[in-house]
Amino acid sequence: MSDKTAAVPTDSVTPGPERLALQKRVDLSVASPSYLMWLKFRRHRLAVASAVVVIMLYVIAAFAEFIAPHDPEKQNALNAYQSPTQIHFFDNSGQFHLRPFVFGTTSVRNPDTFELEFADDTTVRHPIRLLVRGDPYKMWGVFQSDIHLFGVADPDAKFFLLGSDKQGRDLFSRIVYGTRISMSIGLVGVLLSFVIGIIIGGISGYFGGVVDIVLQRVIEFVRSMPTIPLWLGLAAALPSDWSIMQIYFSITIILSLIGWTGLAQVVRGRALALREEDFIMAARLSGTSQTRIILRHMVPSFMSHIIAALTLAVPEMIIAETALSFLGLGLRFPAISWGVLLQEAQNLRSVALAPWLLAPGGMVVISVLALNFFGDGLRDAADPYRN
Amino acid sequence: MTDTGPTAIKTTVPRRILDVRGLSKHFPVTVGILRREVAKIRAVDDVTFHVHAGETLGLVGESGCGKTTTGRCLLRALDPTAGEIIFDPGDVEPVDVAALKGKALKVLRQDMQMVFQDPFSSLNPRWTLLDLVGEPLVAYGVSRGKALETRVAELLRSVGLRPEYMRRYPHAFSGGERQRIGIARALALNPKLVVADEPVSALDVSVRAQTLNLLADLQEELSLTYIFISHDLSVVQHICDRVVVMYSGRVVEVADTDDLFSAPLHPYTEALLSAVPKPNPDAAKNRIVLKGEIADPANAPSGCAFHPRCTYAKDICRQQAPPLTTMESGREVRCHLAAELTLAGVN
Amino acid sequence: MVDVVLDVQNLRAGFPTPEGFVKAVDGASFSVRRGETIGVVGESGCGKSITARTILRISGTSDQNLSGRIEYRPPGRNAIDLLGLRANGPEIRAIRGAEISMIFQEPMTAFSPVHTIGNQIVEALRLHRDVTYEEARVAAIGMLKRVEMSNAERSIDAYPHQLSGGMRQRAMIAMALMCSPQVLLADEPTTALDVTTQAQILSLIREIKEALGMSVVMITHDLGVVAETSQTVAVMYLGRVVEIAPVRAIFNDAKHPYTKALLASVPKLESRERLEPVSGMVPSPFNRPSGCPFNDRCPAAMPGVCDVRMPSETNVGDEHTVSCFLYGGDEDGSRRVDGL
Repeated sequence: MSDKTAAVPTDSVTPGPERLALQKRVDLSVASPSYLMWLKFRRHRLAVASAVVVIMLYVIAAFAEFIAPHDPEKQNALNAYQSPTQIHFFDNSGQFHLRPFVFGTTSVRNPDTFELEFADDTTVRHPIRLLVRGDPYKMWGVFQSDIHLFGVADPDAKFFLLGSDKQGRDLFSRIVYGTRISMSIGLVGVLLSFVIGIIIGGISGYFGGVVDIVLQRVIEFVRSMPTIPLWLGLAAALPSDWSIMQIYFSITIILSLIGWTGLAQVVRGRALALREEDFIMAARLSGTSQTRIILRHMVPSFMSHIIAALTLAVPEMIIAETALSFLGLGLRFPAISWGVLLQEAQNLRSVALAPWLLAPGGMVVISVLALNFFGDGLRDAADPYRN
Repeated sequence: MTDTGPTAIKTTVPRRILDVRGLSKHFPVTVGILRREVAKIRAVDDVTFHVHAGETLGLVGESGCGKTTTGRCLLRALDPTAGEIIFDPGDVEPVDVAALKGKALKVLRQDMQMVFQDPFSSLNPRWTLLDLVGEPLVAYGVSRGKALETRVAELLRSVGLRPEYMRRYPHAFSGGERQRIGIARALALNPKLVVADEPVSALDVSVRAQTLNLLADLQEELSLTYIFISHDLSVVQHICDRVVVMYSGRVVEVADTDDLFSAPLHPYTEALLSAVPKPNPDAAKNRIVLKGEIADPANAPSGCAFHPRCTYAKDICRQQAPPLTTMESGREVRCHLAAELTLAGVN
Repeated sequence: MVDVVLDVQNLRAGFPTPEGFVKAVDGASFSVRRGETIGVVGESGCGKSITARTILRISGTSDQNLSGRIEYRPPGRNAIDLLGLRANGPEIRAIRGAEISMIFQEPMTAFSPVHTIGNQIVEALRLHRDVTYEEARVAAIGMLKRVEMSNAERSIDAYPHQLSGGMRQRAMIAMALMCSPQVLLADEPTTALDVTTQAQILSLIREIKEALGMSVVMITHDLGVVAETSQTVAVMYLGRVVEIAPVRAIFNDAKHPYTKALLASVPKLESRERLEPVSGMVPSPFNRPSGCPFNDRCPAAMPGVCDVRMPSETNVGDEHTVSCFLYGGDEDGSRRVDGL
């Protein structure tokens, strides 16, 4: 008993990390559901990164006029099939410039083919600046401006980040404008599906019984229809003289006609599961009114699941739009969407000559992947109480 | 109606706070899209018993015996198929709970509350303790704002939880503490009758004992009447004054706890008592091990539902369903042979 | 020298979780004698199930989070340290299900829903014995009859969901016994069952144990089940065996304050006295008290002793060991306080 300290077994001392974990748990006891969801979502690294990408895509869509350095419709036969302009930091004397720049170009007629060929004119530097004046535009059709996020000041300088198309239009600017339609058609389509889905799914799950059985059969029937021919048929039936807006909304409606079924099933499943929860019965026995049970107990419990399901439905819509437009049955010129842009990459010659025309396809891949990972993360975080 | 009190010694006839007569709940078994009814599950079939004010009545049986369904019918969480549930709160006229609708039912529910088995699914994880315990108070417009907080704090204190915790969410609490939250919620409106459906069966041994003590203390403090639904006979024996034993949707025996445990009248009660593992290695082990399985209420045997497993069964048991009869002692039992048999209890 | 078939010494098993490292088993020691039933009791989180799963190496704990020794002594062969085997290696697989088998609380998890129970039992036997399908099937029907499966010839071709809970439990016991194991680990085998069915299953396990001469490790939270089935009882608290003794000594002469508290928490059929449960609750695995794991709830805790050091095992009677400073608990035993 003389040396008490020596008798202390090493494992009786609480190590640091456990204390820390305890500290965290105490804080969690007052953590709101949304905070718990955030904690759980945060653990899903890929989803967090994807969320950033998704937000960037929607920012680009919202401020397309400002972000695009050029007017997407500005044609110039001289600029046809320009390859992506290189951005430089070192000038011809090897001197480093902090501000990136592009070289000027000189055109030389090839004496053999008589084609106009371009070469960098390394003596002229066009620095890339932020907030430069360029092509005039109307922001959201309202605010007149000619200030772009970035660009080169000289209107004659060739500045095509992703090259140009046959008419000499800047592909980068067109992709930026295409983001607006492609990303929003998914969102609007999903919102429409959501309205149909939540009504039908809610009715099915809440009432159950015969109503549920009938609606489930309807959903199964709709889901069993082959989507591509259906879309093709419906899209082909759209009058060709409709405006971009009319076509845009018709396509959205066509896409949601199928899309709502998945959401209806999610809503129904949650509603059915919730009906069995003891806390719903406890609320009923506590005298809580039906409306309050639905609004305060049921809706918050399945809202997060619905948002996750919605996020996962957006990429399907984007792909569907792209596919339809690519086939020439969705949006058409002069609308700009990724699908419409990809139409230009349809023939082999232009792909061989100007492979950068496939860039809109890359955007589709990026956006669909990002939305899917983001949705996965949301789905996992939707119920933070289940361990 | 004369009261057949369990013992003649009792001079004052206790008020019957609840009188259940012929309560039945049948669930249809349906097939196909048109939901054609092909059979009925008689989950609760002609159940009759009463509850005295201030007592704890145990509702005992194994899974599928209809005890939970009975409890839910009493609170009208389920609508009974038939029968009367006369509730006499004492201060106002007795009402038939089975016939109440809308507003009248809401008024009644202030007096009857429920404690659930599962301390996890019975609390909305997205609500704080203040919201959860205050829910009935808000629903009945009893109090709000500061007054609500004061009342919730008082309720939390009465179930042994610290009032400072009222801004916390249920996930911060253990099973036993959650069960206390559920009890606080049930007591918010000062009910007279609390139906506790297996309130301790999801809890660990030591926490179970704490919760049982809490329930007993609250009963004394607030002069509550409990209907205690359980499959655990040792818990029932500990907390209940009288016991209703159910088998296959029917009441098979009603008796004072001491009578029931020392001298059961129904062979099923005897087997049930004998089956309980006793925490005493020196206890006699002359166990009755029943053959076969618990009767399925969807497909109940002819005659007495217990006859295929009963060691005493005679021809009459196979042919006729026995009625629930009151014996000379005042005890009720549903068995043809109750007068002839001498069955073994546990004490 | 007593005939020990399974000897667990200073077993530690833990899991990393996002909230921190959980010491599920923290120095548990007990031994199982040939032909006896040892009851392992404790509340949720005491590590009793993980201990059983670690014996069979199915706990999913990685090797660096395991320490101690689990010695299996098969008759007529050399002792094997199960912890020294590879978690999925051929040696442990030869033992698992053949020499040491396990039954679970929920038989549905032990059976695959897409095969008949007969095929699964036959498979279990043919994995370890060189028999034809027909021979195995005959043996399976025999075993199902032995576990009093109603209508064994027909039930053998049933899918698990077609059987009632009690019958599924019987089928699982039959599967576990196909190779006549030396040790049966029963993890809460009757918790999900009704009392009358529980009585059937417990008496079945007892009969078969006696007939086959095997040992049973009965893991349960129910002191009643322990009292009825076990010859020796090990009481676990927060990953440690705090007391181990013959069943009568545990129920009549418990030493450890936790064992006493546990016994006082159980309503007895004979008396209706107010229960005297231990205060508080089992601490979260991330917030283990220092020193003796029970010191923060212990009515007899000695400040400066119990909250500083871990008590060691002290022998307090005939095969009765307890880990508590009230009875010694120091290596030199100088702290023994008698009469408490």
